[in-house]
Amino acid sequence: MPVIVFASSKGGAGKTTACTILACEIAKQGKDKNIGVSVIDADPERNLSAWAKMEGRPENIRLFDDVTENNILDVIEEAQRQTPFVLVDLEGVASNTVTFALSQASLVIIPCQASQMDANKAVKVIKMIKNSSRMIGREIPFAVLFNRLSAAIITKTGRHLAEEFEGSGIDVFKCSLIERESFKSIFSFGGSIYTLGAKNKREQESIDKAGDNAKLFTEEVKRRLKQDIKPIEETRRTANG
Amino acid sequence: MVDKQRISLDLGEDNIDLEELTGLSTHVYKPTVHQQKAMEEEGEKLGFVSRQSRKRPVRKRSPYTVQNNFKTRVGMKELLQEVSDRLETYDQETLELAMLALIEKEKLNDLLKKYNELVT
Ligand SMILES: Nc1ncnc2c1ncn2[C@@H]1O[C@H](COP(=O)(O)OP(=O)(O)O)[C@@H](O)[C@H]1O
Ligand SMILES: [Mg+2]
Repeated sequence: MPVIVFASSKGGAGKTTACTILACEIAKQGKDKNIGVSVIDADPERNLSAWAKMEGRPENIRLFDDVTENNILDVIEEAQRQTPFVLVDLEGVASNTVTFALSQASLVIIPCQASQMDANKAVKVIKMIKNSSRMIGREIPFAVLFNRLSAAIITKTGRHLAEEFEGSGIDVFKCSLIERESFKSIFSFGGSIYTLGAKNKREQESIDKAGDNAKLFTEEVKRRLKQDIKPIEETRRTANG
Repeated sequence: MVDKQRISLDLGEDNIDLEELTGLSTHVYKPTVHQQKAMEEEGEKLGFVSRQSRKRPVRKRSPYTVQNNFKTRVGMKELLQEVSDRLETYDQETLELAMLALIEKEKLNDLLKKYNELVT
C-alpha cells in the first residue's frame, strides 16, 4: 500500500500544505468506498497535528503523532495496517527521522519554491534518497513539486530550475501548486478547502480554482504511484530472485 | 480567463480509481538493524543527524578556511547567532544563505553562477 513521504531539508517549502491537500483529496475520493488515509506528523513543529486536531478534519483521515527517530519505522508500519494510504510529513531538517522515513517511501514528494535556494536544499534531500536507495537495494521514486507559483505562469527562474532538475535526471511534477489563500486558510480554520465557506462569488471562484489544483496534483500523484508500484506478483518475484 | 486557466492545467488524462492503487503491493521491507546503522552513518556524511544525541551536523573537513575580520554594530553578532539557531545552520552557512538570498532578490545572475561554483 502506498506510503507517500513529503521531504525537503528546508522549512516553509510546503510539505505540510501539500501533505494536507493530498490527504483531503484522497479522503474525499475514498469516503464512499471506505478507503482511509493516515497522516503521520513527523515534524516536532506539529503543524500537521494542529490542523488535524481542529474541527472539520475528514473522518477517514487518521492522525499519527508523537513520532521520533526511534519509532518512525514502527509508526509507518502501524499506519499501513490501518489504512491503505499513508502520508508522512517530515521536518525541514536533515535528520535520522527523515532518513528512516525515506527508506519506506513508495513515492517521495519534494516541494520546492522557484528559487535557487530551495533548489539547492532539494538537491540535498535527493542525494539522501539516492543513498538510501543504494543501501536498501530498492529504487525510491521521487519527484520535485514546485509550490507557491503565482496563478498565471511559471516564472523564468522556475522554468530554468525545472530544466536544470530535468537535465540532471530529476523528475519534476507536471502540475505545480499555486499560491492560494485557501491553501493557507485551512490551517487557520481546520477542515479542507471544501469546508471553507465563501463569503462571495469571488471567494467561491478562488476556492474552486484551489480545488482544481488540488485535484490535478492528486491525479498526478496517483499516476506516479501506478506507474512506479509493481503488482503484488511481480514484487514477490523480484524479492525471491 | 477562468476557463482558459482551467483548460491549460488539464493534463487530459483519465482519473485513476483509488482501488487501483490499494490493490497494488508496495510491500517494503523494514531495514534491518544493520541497514539502519549504515543509513545513519551515510546520512551523517550528508549532514543528516540524530536529534536524540547531537544537534548539529558533524563535518569531516570544513570548507570554511578563510578567516574574515570585520566589525559590526553591537548586537549584530548575537542576531546572526539567533538566525543561525533558528535555521539550524552554522554562522558561516547563514552568511552564505543571506548572500544567496540577496543575489537572487537583486537578480545578480552572474554572481549567482559564481556563488554556485563556490558553494557546490
Ligand atoms: N500553495 C500555497 N499557497 C499559499 N500558501 C502556502 C502555499 N504553500 C505553502 N504556503 C504557506 O507557506 C508556509 C509554509 O508552508 P508549509 O506547508 O508549512 O511548509 P513546510 O511544511 O515545508 O515547512 C505556510 O504558512 C503555508 O500556509
Ligand atoms: Mg511542515
